[in-house]
Amino acid sequence: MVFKGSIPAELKFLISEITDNWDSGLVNVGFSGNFTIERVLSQKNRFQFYGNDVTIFSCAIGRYYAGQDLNISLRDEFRGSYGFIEKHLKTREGALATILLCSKMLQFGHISNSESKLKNRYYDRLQKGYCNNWDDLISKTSAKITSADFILQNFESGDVVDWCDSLPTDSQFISFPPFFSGDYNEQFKSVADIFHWDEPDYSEFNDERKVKMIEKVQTFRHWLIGSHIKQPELKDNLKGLVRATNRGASIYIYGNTDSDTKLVSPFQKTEPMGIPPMMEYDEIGDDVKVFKITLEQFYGLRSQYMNHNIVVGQASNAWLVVSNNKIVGCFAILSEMSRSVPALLPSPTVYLLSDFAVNTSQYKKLSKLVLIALLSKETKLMMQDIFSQRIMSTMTTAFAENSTSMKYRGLFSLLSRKETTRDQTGKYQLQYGASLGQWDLKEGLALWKKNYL
Amino acid sequence: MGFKRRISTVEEKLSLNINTKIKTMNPMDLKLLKSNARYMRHEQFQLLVDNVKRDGKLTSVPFGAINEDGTYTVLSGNHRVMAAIEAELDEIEIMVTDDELTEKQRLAIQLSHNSISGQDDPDVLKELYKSLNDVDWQIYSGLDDKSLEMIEAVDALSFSESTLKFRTVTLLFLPEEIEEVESAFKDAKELISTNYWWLANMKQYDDYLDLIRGTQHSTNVSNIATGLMTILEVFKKNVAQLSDEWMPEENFSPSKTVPLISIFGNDTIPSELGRRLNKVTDSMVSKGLIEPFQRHMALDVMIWSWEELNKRG
Repeated sequence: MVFKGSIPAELKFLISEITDNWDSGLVNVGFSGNFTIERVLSQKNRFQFYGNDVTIFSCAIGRYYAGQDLNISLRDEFRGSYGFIEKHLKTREGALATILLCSKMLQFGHISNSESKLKNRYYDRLQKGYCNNWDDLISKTSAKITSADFILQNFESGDVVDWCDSLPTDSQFISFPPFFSGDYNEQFKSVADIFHWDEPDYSEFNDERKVKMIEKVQTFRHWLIGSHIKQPELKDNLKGLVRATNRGASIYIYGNTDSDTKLVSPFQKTEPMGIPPMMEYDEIGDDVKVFKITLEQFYGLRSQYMNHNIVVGQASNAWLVVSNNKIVGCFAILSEMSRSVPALLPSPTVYLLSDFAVNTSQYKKLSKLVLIALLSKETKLMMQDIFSQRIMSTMTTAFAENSTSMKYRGLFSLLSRKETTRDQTGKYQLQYGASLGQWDLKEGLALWKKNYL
Repeated sequence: MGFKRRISTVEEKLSLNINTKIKTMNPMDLKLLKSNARYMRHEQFQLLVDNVKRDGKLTSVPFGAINEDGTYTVLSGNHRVMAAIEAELDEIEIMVTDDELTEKQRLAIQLSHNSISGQDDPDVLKELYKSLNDVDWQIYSGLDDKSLEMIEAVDALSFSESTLKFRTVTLLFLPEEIEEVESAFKDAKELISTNYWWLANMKQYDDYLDLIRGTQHSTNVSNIATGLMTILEVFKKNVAQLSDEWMPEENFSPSKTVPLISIFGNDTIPSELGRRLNKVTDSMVSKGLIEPFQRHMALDVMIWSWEELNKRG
């Protein structure tokens, strides 16, 4: 199954390109997911589709567009919580619209169940929103469903490997199977829980079944299959590789078509800062300032001054530390508040993704000045502006050979220490935290000059 | 110095030959540039490391100049040397000079090796890249279909679900020292295009943040809008306390009106009570006790009656 909305744009293009010289006619799609493959290839106006999947989400879409009965009804025990969704289940459009909307409404789990972890004011509010607007949402979603110029020749709800066996080998087959066993069940479990529906029988799609499927796929006249791991046995059939981001999964595309190979590699756009770094001959002035910078500028600085081995996550906001109009360093944070904050640290807490000083200056402890600027009142105010809420502290993780990090020691408190097996990055994984707003920038600079100059 | 002699000196300087040789060295023994304008993005550097690992050696040689202490500084090819270290190569070949170069000469060589480079004809480049027709070698090339603009947008039919509608409210807080708040408000309105603007000063901003933090703690919900709605709910429950604002002597002004909600805690009353109140008020108007345009004075009569009743015990 391909997850909802998880096929990158580049992959859609590759699928379209690689199938360009396939014969017109029937294309069998294993793990239809949200029917991205069918929806992309339907634009060519020369294919018919036979879809397959096992989740309530995919089965509802597949059965609807294949002209089959949906047979979906609300379970009695959920009438109290979700009674408002029941009335539209009588029509085919209404039933499909209900499942599509439920996949969104229940994406985090059951929000009405008093035992649910999601029982709180936020989810109550969300459910109230859905309840109050349900008729309108159903009406708009139904309109989209009926206006879509899309037909499935057939849809098979059931085990993909067994289904492969039943298909003629002179037909064409395409599939992007789930990355991990059980993924396909978990994603729509909370939706499936509340309905009676015609659940298909199928075996768990584990590694063994995946191998079987790959074997069977190769017997088709034209075939295309996606995998997040390299399949050495299909080496000669590697038609493309998509890795959209540095931390994202690679998707290998294998096929037996004589088409050009395609490659999409990560590319992190960088921008120059327009301010020079502190050089050996530059001295720290009487002021230090903190400016918000673009993520592209941050990526540029990171490429220049940070260890290339560190794969950093996606930053949401970054700041530049400047003195005498020269770059001292920068720091960046994650977009979400840290959820599990040690008791020692006042929360809410932002996660410090990276911090570093330029390596071109005469000062050995410039990175301390970056941290001091981070912990300033001015930075705290800017962060609060961004998140529209009180921000009390920051925490980060350091990997070090020693049991303490020289960079954070003295300014941050050590919250936890554990040994790591990741020997390239250091023997210890150290978690550090500190309160924000400890001083203003002027006081901070004086502190740095006193202790670290 | 005559003109001809000056020309000759410049020519001599420019024509100074550099003696070079290829040395095999441990990359760890080389000194890297302290300041280098050329940088590589994370993914580019990782690719270089992968290529070096794959080849087991550097396939183009860096250039280094001897230092006073006999070590060499890499003037060009710093990333290649770093990649060799990363790939754990014990030895690399490097072109070096043992000539004594001036600082300016070293810097000029460093810059020239980066700046004097050719450029690609994109069409030829695409053709050459396409002719590789092998994903592994395409990776090795450092190019990809996206950077060569060989990926096009593909339309896909949509039948996705409709989503809940949200509206944005921007809370705008300005420092106290800003004197012309109205003018700032006007500027801010021009800058931000959301549905509503609320303005408050810095102290209120701090109070607001603390209140939001309090609701986050109490409800275990981090969502700001939910926090704000919780504050409003608490406010509604305690709205009668608003009378504290106008009741004290120092704030009291007999000519001002006050909201009934700050007395009753609600701005509505049950319909049966409303019917009776309306009837009594009509009666007071018809008997000339109150003016028709001052029907609220019915409350004054009721209060007077209650006070009189109390006096009689």
